[in-house]
Amino acid sequence: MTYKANRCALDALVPVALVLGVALVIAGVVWTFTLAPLVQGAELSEPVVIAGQQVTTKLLLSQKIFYLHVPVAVSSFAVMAFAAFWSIRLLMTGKRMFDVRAKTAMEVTLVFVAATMISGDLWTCFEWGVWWVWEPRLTTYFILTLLVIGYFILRNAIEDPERRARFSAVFCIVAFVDAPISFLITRLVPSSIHPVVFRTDSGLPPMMLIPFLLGLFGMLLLAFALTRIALAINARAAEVEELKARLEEQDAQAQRASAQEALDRLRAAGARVSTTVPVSSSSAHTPEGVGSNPDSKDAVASSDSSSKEV
Amino acid sequence: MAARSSNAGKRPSKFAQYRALLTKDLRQELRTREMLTSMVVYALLVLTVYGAALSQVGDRVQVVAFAGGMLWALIVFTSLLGLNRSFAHETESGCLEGILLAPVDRAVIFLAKATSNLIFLTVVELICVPLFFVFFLSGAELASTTPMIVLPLVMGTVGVAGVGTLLSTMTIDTRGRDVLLAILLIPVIFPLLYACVSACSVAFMGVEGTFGTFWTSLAVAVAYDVIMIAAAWGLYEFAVEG
Repeated sequence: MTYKANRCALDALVPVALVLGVALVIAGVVWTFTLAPLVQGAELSEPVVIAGQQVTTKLLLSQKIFYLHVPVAVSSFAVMAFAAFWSIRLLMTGKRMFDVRAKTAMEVTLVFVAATMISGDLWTCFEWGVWWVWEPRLTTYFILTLLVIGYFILRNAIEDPERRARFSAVFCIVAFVDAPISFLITRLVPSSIHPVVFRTDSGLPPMMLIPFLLGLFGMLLLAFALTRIALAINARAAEVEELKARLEEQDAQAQRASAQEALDRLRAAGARVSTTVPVSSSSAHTPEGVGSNPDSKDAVASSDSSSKEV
Repeated sequence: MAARSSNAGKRPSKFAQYRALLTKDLRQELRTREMLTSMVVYALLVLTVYGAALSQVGDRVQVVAFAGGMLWALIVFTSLLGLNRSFAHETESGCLEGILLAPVDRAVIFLAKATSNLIFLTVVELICVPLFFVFFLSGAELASTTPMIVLPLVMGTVGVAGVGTLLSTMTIDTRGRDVLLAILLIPVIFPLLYACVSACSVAFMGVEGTFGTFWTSLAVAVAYDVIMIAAAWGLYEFAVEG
Protein backbone atom coordinates (compact mmCIF):
# COMPACT_ATOMS: atom_id res chain seq x y z
CA MET A 1 0.00 0.00 0.00
CA THR A 2 1.72 3.16 -1.14
CA TYR A 3 1.21 6.68 0.03
CA LYS A 4 -0.51 7.62 -3.22
CA ALA A 5 -3.12 4.92 -2.70
CA ASN A 6 -3.82 6.27 0.78
CA ARG A 7 -4.51 9.77 -0.48
CA CYS A 8 -8.13 10.66 -0.16
CA ALA A 9 -10.34 13.44 -1.37
CA LEU A 10 -9.71 15.38 1.86
CA ASP A 11 -6.17 16.15 0.76
CA ALA A 12 -7.46 18.22 -2.11
CA LEU A 13 -9.05 20.53 0.45
CA VAL A 14 -5.81 21.10 2.38
CA PRO A 15 -4.50 24.13 0.42
CA VAL A 16 -7.94 25.71 0.48
CA ALA A 17 -8.30 25.10 4.22
CA LEU A 18 -4.81 26.45 4.86
CA VAL A 19 -5.36 29.68 2.94
CA LEU A 20 -8.89 30.18 4.27
CA GLY A 21 -7.77 29.42 7.84
CA VAL A 22 -4.90 31.92 7.70
CA ALA A 23 -7.19 34.52 6.12
CA LEU A 24 -9.88 34.04 8.77
CA VAL A 25 -7.39 34.19 11.64
CA ILE A 26 -5.82 37.37 10.21
CA ALA A 27 -9.28 38.91 9.68
CA GLY A 28 -10.16 37.97 13.28
CA VAL A 29 -6.95 39.54 14.63
CA VAL A 30 -7.44 42.73 12.63
CA TRP A 31 -11.05 42.97 13.82
CA THR A 32 -9.90 42.30 17.37
CA PHE A 33 -7.61 45.29 17.39
CA THR A 34 -9.80 47.67 15.41
CA LEU A 35 -13.52 47.15 15.91
CA ALA A 36 -13.85 44.99 19.01
CA PRO A 37 -14.42 47.10 22.13
CA LEU A 38 -12.13 46.90 25.13
CA VAL A 39 -13.36 44.95 28.12
CA GLN A 40 -13.90 46.79 31.36
CA GLY A 41 -11.85 45.51 34.24
CA ALA A 42 -11.45 46.74 37.79
CA GLU A 43 -12.84 50.11 38.83
CA LEU A 44 -10.51 53.09 38.68
CA SER A 45 -10.00 55.31 41.70
CA GLU A 46 -11.28 58.30 39.71
CA PRO A 47 -12.96 58.63 36.29
CA VAL A 48 -10.72 59.53 33.36
CA VAL A 49 -11.54 60.68 29.84
CA ILE A 50 -10.21 58.49 27.07
CA ALA A 51 -10.96 59.41 23.44
CA GLY A 52 -13.73 61.76 24.44
CA GLN A 53 -15.48 59.21 26.67
CA GLN A 54 -15.59 59.20 30.40
CA VAL A 55 -14.29 55.88 31.72
CA THR A 56 -14.69 54.71 35.27
CA THR A 57 -13.12 51.29 34.98
CA LYS A 58 -9.75 50.06 33.79
CA LEU A 59 -9.85 48.91 30.18
CA LEU A 60 -8.12 45.59 29.65
CA LEU A 61 -6.02 45.47 26.52
CA SER A 62 -4.72 42.05 27.59
CA GLN A 63 -8.20 40.64 27.05
CA LYS A 64 -7.39 40.68 23.32
CA ILE A 65 -5.51 37.42 23.87
CA PHE A 66 -8.93 35.83 24.33
CA TYR A 67 -9.61 36.00 20.55
CA LEU A 68 -6.63 33.73 19.84
CA HIS A 69 -6.26 31.82 23.09
CA VAL A 70 -9.71 30.22 23.12
CA PRO A 71 -9.69 29.14 19.42
CA VAL A 72 -6.23 27.57 19.88
CA ALA A 73 -7.41 25.73 23.00
CA VAL A 74 -10.58 24.47 21.28
CA SER A 75 -8.49 23.29 18.31
CA SER A 76 -6.19 21.35 20.64
CA PHE A 77 -9.21 19.49 22.08
CA ALA A 78 -10.55 18.83 18.56
CA VAL A 79 -7.26 17.40 17.25
CA MET A 80 -6.80 15.30 20.37
CA ALA A 81 -10.29 13.87 19.87
CA PHE A 82 -9.11 12.66 16.46
CA ALA A 83 -5.99 11.16 18.05
CA ALA A 84 -8.19 9.23 20.48
CA PHE A 85 -10.52 8.16 17.65
CA TRP A 86 -7.61 6.83 15.57
CA SER A 87 -6.20 5.09 18.66
CA ILE A 88 -9.50 3.27 19.10
CA ARG A 89 -9.47 2.36 15.39
CA LEU A 90 -5.94 1.02 15.78
CA LEU A 91 -6.95 -1.24 18.66
CA MET A 92 -9.98 -2.41 16.69
CA THR A 93 -8.24 -3.13 13.38
CA GLY A 94 -4.55 -3.41 14.26
CA LYS A 95 -3.53 -1.51 11.11
CA ARG A 96 -0.21 0.37 11.23
CA MET A 97 -1.83 3.23 9.31
CA PHE A 98 -3.88 4.27 12.34
CA ASP A 99 -0.78 4.37 14.55
CA VAL A 100 0.81 6.88 12.17
CA ARG A 101 -2.42 8.89 12.20
CA ALA A 102 -2.80 8.89 15.98
CA LYS A 103 0.85 9.87 16.42
CA THR A 104 0.50 12.69 13.89
CA ALA A 105 -2.64 14.00 15.57
CA MET A 106 -0.86 13.95 18.93
CA GLU A 107 2.07 15.90 17.42
CA VAL A 108 -0.32 18.59 16.17
CA THR A 109 -2.07 18.51 19.57
CA LEU A 110 1.26 19.16 21.24
CA VAL A 111 1.80 22.25 19.07
CA PHE A 112 -1.64 23.62 19.92
CA VAL A 113 -1.32 22.71 23.60
CA ALA A 114 2.01 24.55 23.79
CA ALA A 115 0.47 27.60 22.06
CA THR A 116 -2.47 27.50 24.50
CA MET A 117 -0.19 27.27 27.52
CA ILE A 118 1.97 30.18 26.36
CA SER A 119 -0.93 32.47 25.42
CA GLY A 120 -2.86 31.49 28.52
CA ASP A 121 0.08 32.12 30.78
CA LEU A 122 0.68 35.58 29.26
CA TRP A 123 -2.97 36.38 29.86
CA THR A 124 -2.78 35.10 33.44
CA CYS A 125 0.25 37.27 34.03
CA PHE A 126 -1.22 40.48 32.62
CA GLU A 127 -4.80 40.03 33.77
CA TRP A 128 -4.46 38.40 37.16
CA GLY A 129 -0.99 39.68 37.98
CA VAL A 130 0.47 36.25 38.71
CA TRP A 131 2.24 33.76 36.49
CA TRP A 132 0.33 30.77 37.70
CA VAL A 133 -2.64 29.89 39.89
CA TRP A 134 -3.93 26.40 40.66
CA GLU A 135 -7.31 27.28 39.29
CA PRO A 136 -9.42 24.32 38.00
CA ARG A 137 -9.21 25.15 34.27
CA LEU A 138 -5.48 25.89 34.41
CA THR A 139 -4.81 22.78 36.45
CA THR A 140 -6.74 20.39 34.22
CA TYR A 141 -5.17 21.90 31.10
CA PHE A 142 -1.71 21.64 32.63
CA ILE A 143 -2.42 17.97 33.31
CA LEU A 144 -3.46 17.60 29.65
CA THR A 145 -0.10 19.07 28.64
CA LEU A 146 1.72 16.56 30.84
CA LEU A 147 -0.34 13.70 29.37
CA VAL A 148 0.52 14.71 25.81
CA ILE A 149 4.21 14.94 26.70
CA GLY A 150 3.94 11.60 28.53
CA TYR A 151 2.51 10.05 25.35
CA PHE A 152 5.70 10.87 23.45
CA ILE A 153 7.94 9.72 26.30
CA LEU A 154 6.07 6.40 26.29
CA ARG A 155 6.52 6.10 22.52
CA ASN A 156 10.24 6.75 22.81
CA ALA A 157 10.63 4.16 25.54
CA ILE A 158 9.35 1.21 23.48
CA GLU A 159 11.42 -0.31 20.67
CA ASP A 160 9.08 -2.83 19.10
CA PRO A 161 6.77 -0.95 16.65
CA GLU A 162 3.79 -3.26 17.17
CA ARG A 163 3.87 -2.92 20.96
CA ARG A 164 4.58 0.79 20.71
CA ALA A 165 1.48 1.26 18.57
CA ARG A 166 -0.72 -0.72 20.97
CA PHE A 167 0.55 0.80 24.22
CA SER A 168 0.52 4.37 23.00
CA ALA A 169 -3.04 3.88 21.71
CA VAL A 170 -4.12 2.63 25.15
CA PHE A 171 -2.46 5.59 26.82
CA CYS A 172 -3.94 8.05 24.32
CA ILE A 173 -7.44 6.82 25.12
CA VAL A 174 -6.83 7.03 28.88
CA ALA A 175 -5.30 10.49 28.48
CA PHE A 176 -8.19 11.76 26.41
CA VAL A 177 -10.50 11.34 29.42
CA ASP A 178 -8.93 14.54 30.75
CA ALA A 179 -9.89 16.61 27.68
CA PRO A 180 -13.67 16.72 28.32
CA ILE A 181 -12.97 17.27 32.02
CA SER A 182 -10.82 20.27 31.16
CA PHE A 183 -13.40 21.57 28.69
CA LEU A 184 -16.34 21.17 31.08
CA ILE A 185 -14.59 22.12 34.32
CA THR A 186 -15.90 25.70 34.16
CA ARG A 187 -19.41 24.25 34.26
CA LEU A 188 -18.62 21.64 36.92
CA VAL A 189 -16.81 24.02 39.25
CA PRO A 190 -18.66 27.33 39.19
CA SER A 191 -16.02 29.00 41.37
CA SER A 192 -13.61 28.81 38.43
CA ILE A 193 -12.43 32.25 37.27
CA HIS A 194 -12.77 31.15 33.64
CA PRO A 195 -16.17 32.06 32.23
CA VAL A 196 -18.31 29.58 30.34
CA VAL A 197 -17.72 30.74 26.76
CA PHE A 198 -19.67 28.15 24.80
CA ARG A 199 -23.32 28.79 25.51
CA THR A 200 -26.12 30.27 23.49
CA ASP A 201 -26.37 33.37 25.68
CA SER A 202 -22.63 34.01 25.88
CA GLY A 203 -23.24 37.69 26.52
CA LEU A 204 -20.64 38.73 23.95
CA PRO A 205 -21.73 41.71 21.87
CA PRO A 206 -21.61 41.08 18.09
CA MET A 207 -18.52 43.23 17.72
CA MET A 208 -16.67 40.81 20.00
CA LEU A 209 -18.47 37.62 18.98
CA ILE A 210 -17.69 37.95 15.26
CA PRO A 211 -13.89 38.21 15.55
CA PHE A 212 -13.99 35.37 18.06
CA LEU A 213 -15.94 33.14 15.67
CA LEU A 214 -13.67 34.15 12.77
CA GLY A 215 -10.65 33.17 14.85
CA LEU A 216 -12.31 29.94 15.96
CA PHE A 217 -13.24 28.72 12.48
CA GLY A 218 -9.94 29.92 11.06
CA MET A 219 -8.01 28.05 13.74
CA LEU A 220 -10.04 24.87 13.25
CA LEU A 221 -9.37 25.02 9.50
CA LEU A 222 -5.68 25.58 10.24
CA ALA A 223 -5.66 22.62 12.62
CA PHE A 224 -7.25 20.45 9.95
CA ALA A 225 -4.76 21.59 7.29
CA LEU A 226 -1.77 21.12 9.63
CA THR A 227 -2.93 17.65 10.59
CA ARG A 228 -3.34 16.59 6.96
CA ILE A 229 0.06 18.03 6.00
CA ALA A 230 1.79 16.37 8.95
CA LEU A 231 -0.05 13.17 8.07
CA ALA A 232 1.26 13.29 4.52
CA ILE A 233 4.81 13.80 5.81
CA ASN A 234 4.55 11.07 8.43
CA ALA A 235 2.89 8.63 6.04
CA ARG A 236 5.73 9.20 3.57
CA ALA A 237 8.30 8.81 6.36
CA ALA A 238 6.65 5.55 7.45
CA GLU A 239 6.67 4.36 3.86
CA VAL A 240 10.35 5.25 3.48
CA GLU A 241 11.13 3.32 6.67
CA GLU A 242 9.23 0.34 5.35
CA LEU A 243 10.98 0.52 1.97
CA LYS A 244 14.33 0.83 3.74
CA ALA A 245 13.62 -2.26 5.80
CA ARG A 246 12.53 -4.14 2.69
CA LEU A 247 15.63 -2.99 0.80
CA GLU A 248 17.88 -4.11 3.64
CA GLU A 249 16.16 -7.45 3.69
CA GLN A 250 16.58 -7.84 -0.08
CA ASP A 251 20.21 -6.82 0.24
CA ALA A 252 20.79 -9.38 2.94
CA GLN A 253 19.01 -12.00 0.86
CA ALA A 254 21.17 -11.21 -2.17
CA GLN A 255 24.30 -11.42 -0.05
CA ARG A 256 23.21 -14.73 1.41
CA ALA A 257 22.43 -16.04 -2.08
CA SER A 258 25.79 -14.98 -3.51
CA ALA A 259 27.62 -16.48 -0.53
CA GLN A 260 25.70 -19.69 -1.01
CA GLU A 261 26.53 -19.69 -4.70
CA ALA A 262 30.24 -19.18 -4.03
CA LEU A 263 30.11 -21.97 -1.48
CA ASP A 264 28.44 -24.29 -3.95
CA ARG A 265 31.04 -23.44 -6.58
CA LEU A 266 33.87 -24.16 -4.18
CA ARG A 267 32.22 -27.36 -3.06
CA ALA A 268 31.84 -28.54 -6.64
CA ALA A 269 35.46 -27.69 -7.36
CA GLY A 270 36.52 -29.48 -4.19
CA ALA A 271 34.56 -32.55 -5.17
CA ARG A 272 36.25 -32.48 -8.57
CA VAL A 273 39.69 -32.23 -6.98
CA SER A 274 39.10 -34.99 -4.46
CA THR A 275 37.91 -37.41 -7.18
CA THR A 276 40.82 -36.71 -9.59
CA VAL A 277 43.74 -36.15 -7.17
CA PRO A 278 43.19 -37.98 -3.90
CA VAL A 279 45.00 -35.80 -1.35
CA SER A 280 44.75 -36.15 2.40
CA SER A 281 43.43 -33.03 4.11
CA SER A 282 46.54 -32.86 6.35
CA SER A 283 48.91 -32.59 3.38
CA ALA A 284 46.71 -29.96 1.78
CA HIS A 285 47.09 -27.74 4.83
CA THR A 286 50.90 -27.90 4.91
CA PRO A 287 52.83 -25.09 3.24
CA GLU A 288 54.77 -27.61 1.13
CA GLY A 289 51.51 -28.93 -0.24
CA VAL A 290 50.43 -25.43 -1.14
CA GLY A 291 53.63 -24.80 -3.01
CA SER A 292 53.68 -28.14 -4.87
CA ASN A 293 50.04 -28.55 -5.82
CA PRO A 294 48.58 -26.04 -8.28
CA ASP A 295 45.03 -27.08 -7.25
CA SER A 296 45.78 -26.68 -3.54
CA LYS A 297 43.58 -23.57 -3.17
CA ASP A 298 40.53 -25.55 -4.11
CA ALA A 299 41.60 -28.37 -1.88
CA VAL A 300 41.92 -26.03 1.11
CA ALA A 301 38.58 -24.47 0.30
CA SER A 302 36.93 -27.85 0.03
CA SER A 303 38.28 -28.93 3.38
CA ASP A 304 37.08 -25.61 4.83
CA SER A 305 33.63 -25.99 3.34
CA SER A 306 33.37 -29.55 4.54
CA SER A 307 34.32 -28.44 8.03
CA LYS A 308 31.65 -25.73 7.78
CA GLU A 309 29.11 -28.33 6.86
CA VAL A 310 29.86 -30.21 10.06
CA MET B 1 -3.56 -24.60 40.77
CA ALA B 2 -5.43 -26.48 43.45
CA ALA B 3 -8.72 -25.35 41.97
CA ARG B 4 -7.77 -26.66 38.57
CA SER B 5 -6.66 -30.13 39.67
CA SER B 6 -9.78 -30.70 41.76
CA ASN B 7 -12.07 -30.54 38.75
CA ALA B 8 -9.74 -31.92 36.11
CA GLY B 9 -11.02 -31.92 32.55
CA LYS B 10 -13.53 -29.18 33.27
CA ARG B 11 -12.52 -25.58 32.63
CA PRO B 12 -12.28 -23.74 35.94
CA SER B 13 -14.75 -20.94 36.45
CA LYS B 14 -13.74 -17.31 36.11
CA PHE B 15 -13.92 -16.92 39.86
CA ALA B 16 -11.63 -19.93 40.42
CA GLN B 17 -9.11 -18.44 37.99
CA TYR B 18 -9.34 -15.10 39.76
CA ARG B 19 -8.85 -16.74 43.16
CA ALA B 20 -5.89 -18.79 41.93
CA LEU B 21 -4.15 -15.72 40.51
CA LEU B 22 -4.85 -13.67 43.60
CA THR B 23 -3.63 -16.34 46.04
CA LYS B 24 -0.49 -16.72 43.93
CA ASP B 25 0.29 -13.03 44.41
CA LEU B 26 -0.57 -13.04 48.10
CA ARG B 27 1.41 -16.21 48.79
CA GLN B 28 4.41 -14.85 46.94
CA GLU B 29 4.26 -11.65 48.95
CA LEU B 30 3.79 -13.48 52.26
CA ARG B 31 6.87 -15.59 51.55
CA THR B 32 9.18 -12.84 50.32
CA ARG B 33 7.61 -9.75 51.97
CA GLU B 34 9.59 -7.87 49.36
CA MET B 35 6.98 -5.35 48.28
CA LEU B 36 5.40 -4.59 51.65
CA THR B 37 8.74 -4.09 53.38
CA SER B 38 10.05 -1.73 50.75
CA MET B 39 6.80 0.23 50.62
CA VAL B 40 6.55 0.65 54.39
CA VAL B 41 10.21 1.66 54.70
CA TYR B 42 9.80 4.08 51.81
CA ALA B 43 6.70 5.59 53.44
CA LEU B 44 8.66 6.02 56.67
CA LEU B 45 11.37 7.83 54.71
CA VAL B 46 8.83 10.16 53.14
CA LEU B 47 7.51 10.90 56.65
CA THR B 48 11.10 11.64 57.73
CA VAL B 49 11.48 14.09 54.83
CA TYR B 50 8.22 15.74 55.93
CA GLY B 51 9.70 16.00 59.40
CA ALA B 52 12.70 17.86 57.98
CA ALA B 53 10.49 20.01 55.77
CA LEU B 54 8.36 21.10 58.73
CA SER B 55 11.07 21.12 61.37
CA GLN B 56 11.60 24.90 61.28
CA VAL B 57 7.97 26.00 61.47
CA GLY B 58 7.42 24.73 65.00
CA ASP B 59 3.94 25.31 66.38
CA ARG B 60 3.25 28.38 64.30
CA VAL B 61 1.74 26.46 61.41
CA GLN B 62 -1.53 24.60 61.67
CA VAL B 63 -0.57 21.27 60.06
CA VAL B 64 -4.25 20.24 60.03
CA ALA B 65 -4.94 22.72 57.22
CA PHE B 66 -2.75 20.86 54.74
CA ALA B 67 -2.59 17.43 56.34
CA GLY B 68 -4.84 16.05 53.57
CA GLY B 69 -2.37 17.07 50.90
CA MET B 70 0.62 15.68 52.78
CA LEU B 71 -1.16 12.40 53.40
CA TRP B 72 -1.96 12.01 49.71
CA ALA B 73 1.55 12.91 48.59
CA LEU B 74 2.75 10.10 50.87
CA ILE B 75 0.22 7.65 49.41
CA VAL B 76 0.96 8.54 45.77
CA PHE B 77 4.73 8.17 46.10
CA THR B 78 4.45 4.93 48.05
CA SER B 79 1.97 3.55 45.50
CA LEU B 80 4.37 4.34 42.65
CA LEU B 81 7.05 2.27 44.33
CA GLY B 82 4.66 -0.60 45.03
CA LEU B 83 3.17 -0.65 41.54
CA ASN B 84 6.62 -0.80 39.98
CA ARG B 85 7.55 -3.71 42.21
CA SER B 86 4.30 -5.60 41.73
CA PHE B 87 5.15 -6.44 38.13
CA ALA B 88 8.88 -6.80 38.66
CA HIS B 89 8.65 -10.37 39.87
CA GLU B 90 6.07 -11.25 37.23
CA THR B 91 8.70 -10.75 34.54
CA GLU B 92 11.59 -12.15 36.56
CA SER B 93 11.16 -15.82 35.71
CA GLY B 94 8.75 -15.62 32.81
CA CYS B 95 5.76 -15.76 35.16
CA LEU B 96 3.67 -13.38 33.08
CA GLU B 97 4.25 -15.45 29.93
CA GLY B 98 3.09 -18.51 31.85
CA ILE B 99 -0.10 -16.82 32.93
CA LEU B 100 -0.76 -15.55 29.41
CA LEU B 101 -0.24 -19.03 27.96
CA ALA B 102 -2.99 -20.39 30.18
CA PRO B 103 -6.51 -19.96 28.74
CA VAL B 104 -7.39 -17.20 31.18
CA ASP B 105 -9.47 -14.17 30.27
CA ARG B 106 -7.32 -11.00 30.26
CA ALA B 107 -9.97 -9.18 32.27
CA VAL B 108 -9.60 -11.80 35.02
CA ILE B 109 -5.84 -11.20 35.11
CA PHE B 110 -6.50 -7.47 35.41
CA LEU B 111 -8.97 -7.93 38.26
CA ALA B 112 -6.66 -10.30 40.15
CA LYS B 113 -3.68 -8.03 39.73
CA ALA B 114 -5.65 -4.91 40.66
CA THR B 115 -7.05 -6.66 43.74
CA SER B 116 -3.64 -7.75 44.94
CA ASN B 117 -2.30 -4.23 44.39
CA LEU B 118 -5.30 -2.86 46.30
CA ILE B 119 -4.64 -5.24 49.19
CA PHE B 120 -0.97 -4.27 49.41
CA LEU B 121 -1.75 -0.56 49.23
CA THR B 122 -4.38 -0.95 51.94
CA VAL B 123 -1.95 -2.78 54.22
CA VAL B 124 0.65 -0.05 53.72
CA GLU B 125 -1.94 2.64 54.43
CA LEU B 126 -3.07 0.85 57.57
CA ILE B 127 0.50 1.19 58.83
CA CYS B 128 1.35 4.66 57.47
CA VAL B 129 -1.78 6.68 58.18
CA PRO B 130 -1.64 6.04 61.95
CA LEU B 131 2.10 6.84 61.84
CA PHE B 132 1.28 10.09 60.03
CA PHE B 133 -1.15 10.98 62.81
CA VAL B 134 1.43 10.12 65.48
CA PHE B 135 4.20 12.14 63.87
CA PHE B 136 2.35 15.23 62.69
CA LEU B 137 -1.08 15.43 64.27
CA SER B 138 -0.57 14.19 67.83
CA GLY B 139 -0.48 17.75 69.20
CA ALA B 140 -3.14 19.17 66.93
CA GLU B 141 -6.79 19.51 67.80
CA LEU B 142 -8.56 17.11 65.51
CA ALA B 143 -12.08 17.78 64.34
CA SER B 144 -14.72 15.23 65.24
CA THR B 145 -15.20 14.54 61.53
CA THR B 146 -11.63 13.27 61.06
CA PRO B 147 -12.65 9.57 60.79
CA MET B 148 -14.51 10.52 57.61
CA ILE B 149 -11.14 10.55 55.76
CA VAL B 150 -11.57 6.78 55.46
CA LEU B 151 -14.06 7.28 52.60
CA PRO B 152 -11.77 9.30 50.28
CA LEU B 153 -8.86 7.06 51.29
CA VAL B 154 -10.76 3.96 50.16
CA MET B 155 -11.98 5.58 46.93
CA GLY B 156 -8.55 6.98 46.12
CA THR B 157 -6.77 3.69 46.78
CA VAL B 158 -9.22 1.78 44.57
CA GLY B 159 -8.60 4.23 41.71
CA VAL B 160 -4.82 4.21 42.10
CA ALA B 161 -4.75 0.40 42.17
CA GLY B 162 -6.99 0.11 39.10
CA VAL B 163 -5.29 2.66 36.86
CA GLY B 164 -1.85 1.81 38.25
CA THR B 165 -2.28 -1.85 37.30
CA LEU B 166 -2.95 -0.93 33.66
CA LEU B 167 -0.11 1.56 33.41
CA SER B 168 2.46 -0.55 35.26
CA THR B 169 1.69 -3.47 32.93
CA MET B 170 2.48 -1.20 29.99
CA THR B 171 5.65 0.29 31.42
CA ILE B 172 7.15 -2.93 32.77
CA ASP B 173 9.14 -3.78 29.63
CA THR B 174 10.15 -0.28 28.65
CA ARG B 175 13.37 1.63 29.05
CA GLY B 176 13.50 3.50 32.36
CA ARG B 177 10.26 1.99 33.60
CA ASP B 178 10.37 3.48 37.11
CA VAL B 179 10.38 7.05 35.83
CA LEU B 180 7.98 6.27 33.03
CA LEU B 181 5.33 4.93 35.40
CA ALA B 182 5.52 8.15 37.42
CA ILE B 183 5.31 10.27 34.26
CA LEU B 184 2.21 8.43 33.09
CA LEU B 185 0.46 7.72 36.39
CA ILE B 186 0.60 11.09 38.16
CA PRO B 187 -1.14 13.11 35.41
CA VAL B 188 -3.70 10.36 34.81
CA ILE B 189 -4.72 10.08 38.47
CA PHE B 190 -4.59 13.83 39.02
CA PRO B 191 -8.38 14.42 39.04
CA LEU B 192 -8.73 11.66 41.63
CA LEU B 193 -5.88 13.07 43.69
CA TYR B 194 -7.43 16.54 43.61
CA ALA B 195 -10.83 15.25 44.70
CA CYS B 196 -9.40 13.08 47.49
CA VAL B 197 -7.19 15.86 48.87
CA SER B 198 -10.15 18.22 48.93
CA ALA B 199 -12.39 15.66 50.67
CA CYS B 200 -9.68 14.79 53.22
CA SER B 201 -8.99 18.46 53.95
CA VAL B 202 -12.67 19.13 54.62
CA ALA B 203 -12.80 16.14 56.98
CA PHE B 204 -9.64 17.25 58.80
CA MET B 205 -10.85 20.82 59.26
CA GLY B 206 -14.40 19.81 60.17
CA VAL B 207 -15.79 23.31 59.59
CA GLU B 208 -19.57 23.46 59.83
CA GLY B 209 -21.28 23.88 56.43
CA THR B 210 -18.36 22.75 54.27
CA PHE B 211 -19.52 19.17 53.96
CA GLY B 212 -21.16 19.86 50.63
CA THR B 213 -17.62 20.02 49.20
CA PHE B 214 -16.78 16.72 50.90
CA TRP B 215 -19.64 14.88 49.23
CA THR B 216 -19.06 16.57 45.85
CA SER B 217 -15.38 15.60 45.93
CA LEU B 218 -16.28 12.08 46.95
CA ALA B 219 -18.76 11.87 44.07
CA VAL B 220 -16.03 13.02 41.66
CA ALA B 221 -13.69 10.35 43.08
CA VAL B 222 -16.34 7.64 42.68
CA ALA B 223 -17.14 8.75 39.11
CA TYR B 224 -13.43 8.75 38.27
CA ASP B 225 -13.01 5.25 39.72
CA VAL B 226 -15.94 3.88 37.75
CA ILE B 227 -14.88 5.45 34.43
CA MET B 228 -11.17 4.71 34.74
CA ILE B 229 -11.49 1.15 36.03
CA ALA B 230 -14.00 0.36 33.28
CA ALA B 231 -11.58 1.84 30.72
CA ALA B 232 -8.60 -0.02 32.21
CA TRP B 233 -10.57 -3.27 32.32
CA GLY B 234 -11.56 -2.93 28.66
CA LEU B 235 -8.10 -1.89 27.50
CA TYR B 236 -6.13 -4.43 29.53
CA GLU B 237 -6.07 -7.08 26.83
CA PHE B 238 -4.14 -4.66 24.62
CA ALA B 239 -1.70 -3.82 27.40
CA VAL B 240 -0.54 -7.37 28.17
CA GLU B 241 1.49 -9.18 25.55
CA GLY B 242 -0.88 -10.90 23.17
